[in-house]
Amino acid sequence: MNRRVGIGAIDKKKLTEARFRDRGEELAADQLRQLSSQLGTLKSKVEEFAEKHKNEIRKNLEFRRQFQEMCASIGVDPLASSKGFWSEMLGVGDFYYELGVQIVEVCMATNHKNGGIMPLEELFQRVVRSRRKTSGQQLSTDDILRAIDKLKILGNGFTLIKLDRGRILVQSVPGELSLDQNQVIQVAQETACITVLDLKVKLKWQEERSKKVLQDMVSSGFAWVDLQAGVGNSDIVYWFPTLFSASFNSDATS
Amino acid sequence: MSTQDKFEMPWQYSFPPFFTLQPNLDTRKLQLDAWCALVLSYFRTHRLCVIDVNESQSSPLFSNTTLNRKLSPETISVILDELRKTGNLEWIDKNKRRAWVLWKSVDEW
Repeated sequence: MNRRVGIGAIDKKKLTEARFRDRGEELAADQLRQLSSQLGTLKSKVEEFAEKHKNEIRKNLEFRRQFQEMCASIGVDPLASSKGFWSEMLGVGDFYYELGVQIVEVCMATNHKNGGIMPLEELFQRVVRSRRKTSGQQLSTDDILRAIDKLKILGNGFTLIKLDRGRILVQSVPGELSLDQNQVIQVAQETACITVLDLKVKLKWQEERSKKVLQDMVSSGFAWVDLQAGVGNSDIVYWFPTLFSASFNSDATS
Repeated sequence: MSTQDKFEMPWQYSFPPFFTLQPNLDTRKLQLDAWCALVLSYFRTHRLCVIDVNESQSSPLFSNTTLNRKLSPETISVILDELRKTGNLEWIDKNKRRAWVLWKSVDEW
């Protein structure tokens, strides 16, 4: 009894489909119109907002963080491009790009001392110090992390190494730390130094493995050897200038 | 003297491996540069100009008693040699036991 298989039926089906399509397009166009008008409104609202709070955003770090969080929740990246609407209006882009450049400068200036790895806190202090003359802008470690995140776009130059209790090391030289090297840094973080014996006790590593990792760290400049520790002198102590806190008060080179 | 009181040892001075000659050549270069700078500023602040190799081994400059670390005589001579290369040191005798430490260039003196 199925009579709807003739040409007529097919035509009819096509017709309905076409109608649906037209209607669909109409709806979409409508939405698009609405959306673009909404965007227009949003834009003018933001312009208004920017007009009022521009300085606030540049100067006040808490405000900046909140603004960033809002952008993240609606899926907008205010830093994505310097031509972006947000950065043009608010200068958020400039702020972070400038910060990015300063971070790179600080890292280069201290590279010789720490082999390219520096605690976030120290990086922050140094950047603050170098900016002191130029502006009254407040800065937070959060800003530094955001800027570093942007720097990653340039390739694998910057890496963050997470330690206990929220401490973070910023690595500014290419070449990732191996998993083993990472573990060594984790174990050494409190004292800034380590021996083959420590690794044997704490990580249950074979002597050969420990020696190799430590030697590699010495040859890449992350670690310094100390042959004068202890009475027996049998053990070499490996020190990490990066983790050594007295190093922080320094400064002729920066 | 007030200048003496103000003399501050650089951070490296409290960094134990600073007293061991480093095997990594890049690191060693940094180490020697830091040592040369330290020796010169130490001599300048204390208004000294003659270094006696034997005596200097026990001077606080090359031996940090708090850390219980000191430079070996070999390392000291490597540093002095660096200083000689940069023109900041001149041997007084042939046996290289005593030397002038010039913290200003010869012209300035």
